[in-house]
Amino acid sequence: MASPTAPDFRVEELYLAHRTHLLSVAAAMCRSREDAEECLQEVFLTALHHERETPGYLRDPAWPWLRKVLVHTVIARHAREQRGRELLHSLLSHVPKPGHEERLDVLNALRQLPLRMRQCAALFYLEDLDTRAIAELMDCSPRTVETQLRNARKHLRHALGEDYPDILQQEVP
Amino acid sequence: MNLDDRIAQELRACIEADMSAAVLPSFGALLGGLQHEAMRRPTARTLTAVLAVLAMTLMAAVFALPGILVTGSQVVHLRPTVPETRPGSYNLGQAPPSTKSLPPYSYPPLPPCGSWNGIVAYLVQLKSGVAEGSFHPAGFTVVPLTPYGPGGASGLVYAVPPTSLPTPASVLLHNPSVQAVGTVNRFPHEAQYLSCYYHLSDRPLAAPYVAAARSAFVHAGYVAGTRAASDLADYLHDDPLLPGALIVQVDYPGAPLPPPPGAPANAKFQGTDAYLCIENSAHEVLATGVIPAALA
Repeated sequence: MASPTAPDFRVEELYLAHRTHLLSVAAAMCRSREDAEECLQEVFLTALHHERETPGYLRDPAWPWLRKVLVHTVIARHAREQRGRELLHSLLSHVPKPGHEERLDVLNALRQLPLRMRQCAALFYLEDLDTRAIAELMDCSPRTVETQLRNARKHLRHALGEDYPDILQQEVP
Repeated sequence: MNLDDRIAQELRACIEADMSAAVLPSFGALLGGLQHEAMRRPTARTLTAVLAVLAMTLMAAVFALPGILVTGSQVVHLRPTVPETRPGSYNLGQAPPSTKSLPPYSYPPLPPCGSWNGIVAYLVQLKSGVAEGSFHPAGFTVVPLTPYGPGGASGLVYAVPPTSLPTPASVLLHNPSVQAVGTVNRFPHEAQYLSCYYHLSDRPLAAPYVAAARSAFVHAGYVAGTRAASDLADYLHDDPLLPGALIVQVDYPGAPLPPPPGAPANAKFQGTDAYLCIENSAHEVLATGVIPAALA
């Protein structure tokens, strides 16, 4: 392996500072923790490419850029998986569905939502972003984000209702 | 608690539990991954490069060449020196040609609290057997943290980097005495602790941390019991090495400082003594330390 250069050190700083936080967001957006770990690595590999190509590219504050790359990485990965699943369907007559025996906690419930809904919910609940900021990140309208969030709330409320029955009495905003 | 708050709380708890099994590679392993990635896809890369060259040639033929022929002075920037979308940059528009045409000055909106969350220091876990007081990396101001209480954390050092050093984390990571390094950011990530008020008055959940810290500083002999609550400011940072723990910094008025050259004779300057401690989520203090007045 080539010896680390100044751009590598810069990305190393960012990696140390942001990896845990970004991994948490990725874990909510992806279908599994392993997927989240791989997405996170892709994000920092992208950062390395950019920083090596244009030293000084990643200026402070760099985390909004990293978060945006994460959102796009998750979408790209989802598209790749989708293609893989279609191929698998054509090869196999039966694809086993994930088991429903396990307890449906809120994270598992989130991971069963469609990708856009999942991303909106992750950015809203974990990153405390408002609908406008989420819309900018995801290249869609604030109205779309609101709709996605309302639907996500309905699903997550149902999942939470097992532990907190009072939640089921509350109106979905 | 409303539905959104409950969902956020549960989601964070689930992710925290899920993250306990996460495997984050070292940065060196990530660099190895980059090389592997480059080796794995040489054909795809070559194909992409060939396609890009073809596309650019075609575009040049269609757009640039007629421009040069007609005007004789058109310059095509295939790649600007500074990309427009680089993070942290702001598009301020075209600068006015002279100061006469400057628009009336208006104040930019105040950035939201926590928008600058840069690194203020590093928390270093030393290898076992290395004394906190014996660790002196060149250029750093080092604050050894003393274990506090029966379950106190040992081998911890709070290191403030010199401003002239571009890569402090790497310097610390390559020190033979160091086992792990984490960055201490200005603000905590948890919204419930994020505050820009000096006494965190808008974050009631931060109060038990500060109260436990004040009590520990009195117990450790840093401040007298009568001064415990007369602090100037309180700060919370995430503990990068112990998940769920926070670093609490409390500033107190310190001894008078000598006036700088040229200061009026009757002017008084006062230093600030800063004490910090590490607390877990049960508000148990694990280690305490004193930041020198010049850095507080």
